[in-house]
Amino acid sequence: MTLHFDSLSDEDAWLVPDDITRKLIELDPNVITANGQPAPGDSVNLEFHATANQEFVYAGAYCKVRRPSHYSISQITLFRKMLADIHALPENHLPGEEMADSEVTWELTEVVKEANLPVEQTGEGSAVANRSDILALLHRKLGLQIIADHYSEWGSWDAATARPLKEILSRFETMRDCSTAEPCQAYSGFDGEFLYMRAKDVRLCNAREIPNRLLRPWQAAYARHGCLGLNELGEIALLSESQFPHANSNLMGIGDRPVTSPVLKLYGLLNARQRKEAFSGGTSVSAFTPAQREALTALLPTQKDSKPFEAVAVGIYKDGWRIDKDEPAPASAEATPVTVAMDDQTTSDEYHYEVKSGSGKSIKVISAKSAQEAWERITADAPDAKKENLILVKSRSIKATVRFADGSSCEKSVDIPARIPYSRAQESE
Amino acid sequence: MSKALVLLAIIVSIGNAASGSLLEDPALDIPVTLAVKGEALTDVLDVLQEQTGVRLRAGRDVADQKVTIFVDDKPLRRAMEGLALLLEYHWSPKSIGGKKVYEIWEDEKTRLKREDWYTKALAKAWEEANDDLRRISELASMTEEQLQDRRHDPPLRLTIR
Repeated sequence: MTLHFDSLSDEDAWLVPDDITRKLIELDPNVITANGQPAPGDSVNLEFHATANQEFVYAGAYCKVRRPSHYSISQITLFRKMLADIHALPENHLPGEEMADSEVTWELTEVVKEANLPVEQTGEGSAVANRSDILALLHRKLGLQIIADHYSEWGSWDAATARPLKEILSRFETMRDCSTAEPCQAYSGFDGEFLYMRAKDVRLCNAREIPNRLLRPWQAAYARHGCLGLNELGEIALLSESQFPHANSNLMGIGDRPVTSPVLKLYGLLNARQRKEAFSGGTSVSAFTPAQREALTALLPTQKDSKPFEAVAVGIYKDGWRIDKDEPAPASAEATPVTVAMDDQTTSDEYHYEVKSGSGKSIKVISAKSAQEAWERITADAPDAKKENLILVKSRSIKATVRFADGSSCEKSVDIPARIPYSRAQESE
Repeated sequence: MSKALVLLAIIVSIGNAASGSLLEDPALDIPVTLAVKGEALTDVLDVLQEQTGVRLRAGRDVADQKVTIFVDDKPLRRAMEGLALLLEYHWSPKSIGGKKVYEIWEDEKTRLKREDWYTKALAKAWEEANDDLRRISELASMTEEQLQDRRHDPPLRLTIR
C-alpha cells in the first residue's frame, strides 16, 4: 500500500484500510472515543485528508465505523504545522549599525492611550497594543526616527521602567499575537539615522492583512450606526481564506465579530440593483455572473444539478419577523428579547449579576422591548451600573429564499448578532 | 565595440539615470515631518506630496502596504530611501502628463524570493506529513511487539491520544 500526500486540494482523501485501523485501535482503544469500539463484524477504516494554505499544512483522519445499525465518525488530527516553523524565514535584510544604548520608561496608561482602542483591552498589569503603538512611544520618548511596516497584530505590553531599548527591540523578534497566540515577529535594523522594523513573515502578513480601503468604510459604518450593516457584512464575507480568520484583529475596536456564511457571500456578490431586487421580491438568477452562480451553488450544494434556479430573494429578520419592510409585527408577537450584558472587557468589578458568562465574567440577560427598558431593569438591580460598560447584543438574521423554475423554493439563513455600545443602542432601535 | 557591449552600456546608463535622478533632484532635499501609524503607502505618499510638492505615487501592487513612519524634519529623499530599503521596493522617476512623478514599486525578483520561500516551506511540510503517513502505512506488517515499541513515535503519538 502506498499513501502519499502530494496535493494542495482538500478534496483528496486517503483511505487506511480496515486491518491497519484495527491495529491502531488495538494499540490504544481511545482512537475511537465517543462512539464505542468496533465489533468484529464492523467495517472500520481511517480516511486521511490533507490541506494546505498560506500558513500551514494540515493532515487529519476520520475514523469511520460502519455496522448495519450504526455509523460513527471520529476526527483525528495527525499533522498541523505552520510553514514558518518548518522552514527558516528569509534573513534580515536591514542595516545593522549599532544603536545608542538608551533606556525607556512608560506607564501602562500611556500604552493604553497610544493604542486608543474603542474598547480598552487590558489584562493584569498589561495592555494590548500594536507594534506601531510601541514604536510611537519609542519615537516620543527617545526621539527615534522610525520607518516600519504595519500589520494588524496585537501584543501584550506592560509598563516599562528604565528598560533598555535593545530589550524592547528583541522582544519584537519573538512576539505572539495575544488573541491568536500565533507568531507576529518582526526584526529591526538601524542605519545610523533611522530605526527600521519589518515583519519576519511578510508573505503571510500580507495575505492576512485587510487593506485600509476596505477596512475604513467598515469602521466608519460602525461609528455611524454602532454595528455593521448588511452591506459591510457581505463585503467581509468575501474576504480571502487567509484574511477572514484574522478579520477580528483587523477590526480590533469594532464590537461586532464578523460572521461568514454562504448567504452573506452570495449577498456580498450581488450588485446594488440585484440587492434591491432581492429585497423586493427576488432577483433573477439568469443574469448571475459565474461567481454569483458558484456562490448560489455553494449555498445549496444538494440542489446542484437537480432543479434550475429561478430567482433569489433576501430579507432581514428579527425574532422570526421580517424587519427590512414596513410590515408591522402582529399584535400577538412576544416582547423583543434585548440582551444587555456587561462588556467582556470591563475592568470594573462593581456589578454582580445573577448569571455568569462562559468566560466567568458577570453577565445578566434581560428581555425587554427597548434598551431603555433593559437599562431601567439593570439599574433596579445595580443602581451604580455605568452605561458605558454595557453592551446591547441584538440578534438579526438574513434569510435567502431561492426559488426554482418549478415554483418550489428553499431558504437558508444566518444569524448576524451585533454588539452595540449602550450609548448607540437607542439610535439603532 | 560589440553590440553586446553597447547594449550593456545603455542598460548601465539607464540604471544610473534612474537612481541618479533620485539622488540629484534638489526637490528631494525638502524636509518632511511625518507621524503616521498603519496608513496605506499610497496615502502616506499623498501626505509627503502635499508637504513637498514632489509628485509621488505607489505602484498598484504596493499601494495597500501599511506603514508606520515617525520622521522629524528629514529630507524627503531620506524618507523615500528608507521606505525602499525597508520594503525592498524601488523608486523610479516617470513622466506622466509631462510632469515628473516618482513611483515606488516592487520588482519581480523580490516577490519571487518570498514565493520561493513559501514553495520550499510547503514542500518540506508535505514531506514531513508523508513521513508520518508512511509510518502509519507500515503498521500493517508489524508484529504486536513492534507496534508497542512504536506507540510513542510520531505520528502515533499524535494519532493515538
